[in-house]
Amino acid sequence: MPETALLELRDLRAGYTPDTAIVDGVSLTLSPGTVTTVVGGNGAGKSTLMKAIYGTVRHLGGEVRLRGEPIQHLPPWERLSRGIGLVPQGRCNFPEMSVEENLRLGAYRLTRSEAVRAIERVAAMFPVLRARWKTQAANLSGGEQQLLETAMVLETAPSLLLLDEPSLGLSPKMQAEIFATAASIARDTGLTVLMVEQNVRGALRVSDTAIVLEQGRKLMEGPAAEVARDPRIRQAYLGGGATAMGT
Amino acid sequence: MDAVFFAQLLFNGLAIGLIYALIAVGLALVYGVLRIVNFAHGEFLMLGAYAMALVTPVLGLLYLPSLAVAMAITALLGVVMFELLFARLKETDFERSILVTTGLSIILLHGVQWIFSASGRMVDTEFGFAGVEIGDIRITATRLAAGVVALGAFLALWLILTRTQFGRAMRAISQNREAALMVGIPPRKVARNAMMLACGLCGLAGAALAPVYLVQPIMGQALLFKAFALVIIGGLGHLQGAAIAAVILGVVESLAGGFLTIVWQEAIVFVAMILVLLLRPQGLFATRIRVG
Repeated sequence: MPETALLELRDLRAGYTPDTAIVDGVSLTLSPGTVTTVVGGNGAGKSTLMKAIYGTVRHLGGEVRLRGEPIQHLPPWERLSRGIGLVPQGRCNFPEMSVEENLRLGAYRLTRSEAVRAIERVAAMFPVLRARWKTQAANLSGGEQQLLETAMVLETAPSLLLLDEPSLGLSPKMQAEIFATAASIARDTGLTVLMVEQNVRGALRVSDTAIVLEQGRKLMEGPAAEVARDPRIRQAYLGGGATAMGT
Repeated sequence: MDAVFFAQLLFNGLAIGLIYALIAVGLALVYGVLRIVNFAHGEFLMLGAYAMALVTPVLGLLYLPSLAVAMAITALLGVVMFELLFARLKETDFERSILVTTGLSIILLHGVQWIFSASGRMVDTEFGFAGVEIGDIRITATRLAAGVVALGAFLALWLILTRTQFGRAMRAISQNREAALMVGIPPRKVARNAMMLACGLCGLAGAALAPVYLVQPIMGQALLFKAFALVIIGGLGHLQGAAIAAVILGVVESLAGGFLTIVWQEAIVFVAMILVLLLRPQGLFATRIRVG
């Protein structure tokens, strides 16, 4: 394992039942401060891969190593404490609680003083949330809810942020903002981002590397620009037109 | 209509309604967090009443310390039951959970009957038969104390649920399990806490009722079915809804007992439940099913 690797997957197998691996033998290395997009069609195992890294699906084999330490036996809350944060697909907040209460719960694993600092930090990072402090999460727009969920996970200052379809259901303008936010957080804080995204073009534009999954297996891996130029990827995910990187 | 009679019924109804609310809120809490309909919930009320009946004379404690001990005992029993049974049930095990909790209910009921017999027990406290007179209305001290204790318990519960991470975590799990995992809330620990709190509240209700009614093994059963009706009327898993429905029911039941034939006193809650199920199946206060 390279000395600089933050996360390493070794022949990871995971799924929802003991006998069916949705993620089937994926190996992967993520370096600190990089943004990686996972590309793949429906049923390729992208979301399951994210859940397997966070520990919310059944581990069937292989290893998940964080900074060299095997963590595949740990429950999700222990993985969160060690620096892995997952923002799942779809709306994932507490709809009948205010933004403030959602952020307080985002700091669930922190001490009281750490929580105060963390809430201040993310509120400064996302001013729109401060403006909607007492609003119930259910009454926020889709984009605001996505920001809230990302803020809740960022409160624990993770080293690795897993974003599962962050642009789902958002307007094109909001999608671009979400991608730009993810990239700037990674650039400014050294956070490593692993992102699953249907908007492949937008995601690859802000990514350093990309991996392509097909039927639970890794088909391709490389710099995002190279993956975007690959004819098979262009044909399957980019509409066969100009590359995602605009080159 | 006799205004004094009406006021007397109203007050009695409020006091008993608050007690119903403690039971119903516990049931709603367990459902909201564990997704289990606990058919043994009423037995924790009965256990709380028996704990009160034993603790008061044996330890020679006054009313409030006895309530605290009874509540602690039932809360602890709730934790034991959770570890032995409830923790082994999955969210998808709905039918299993009905059978397991019904079995537990029967075991607890008959276990207590075997130990203490089916005969009722009177619980005497330092209040005796004392009462408070407001104009022409007379309220027994034990009934007044039960109402005040229930109000205090609600205030404490509201503070726990809204001001502490302990309580917020319960609301969180009942609103969105995946989001709860996202922020690192361990579901099992929170479920255990919910069970402890719900059984403690139910035990407190039983202990508060013990000096008002005869303590007997069967006492939890009748109240449990009323509590189910209240939870459905309020909206499944909706704590405030269950509490409001319970207080309203207490008053309506009391007035029905005073002004209608006695049959209506027991029937009225179930008539209300059927009407709600037909006209607004999600409950009166729930905006959607399964809220916290």
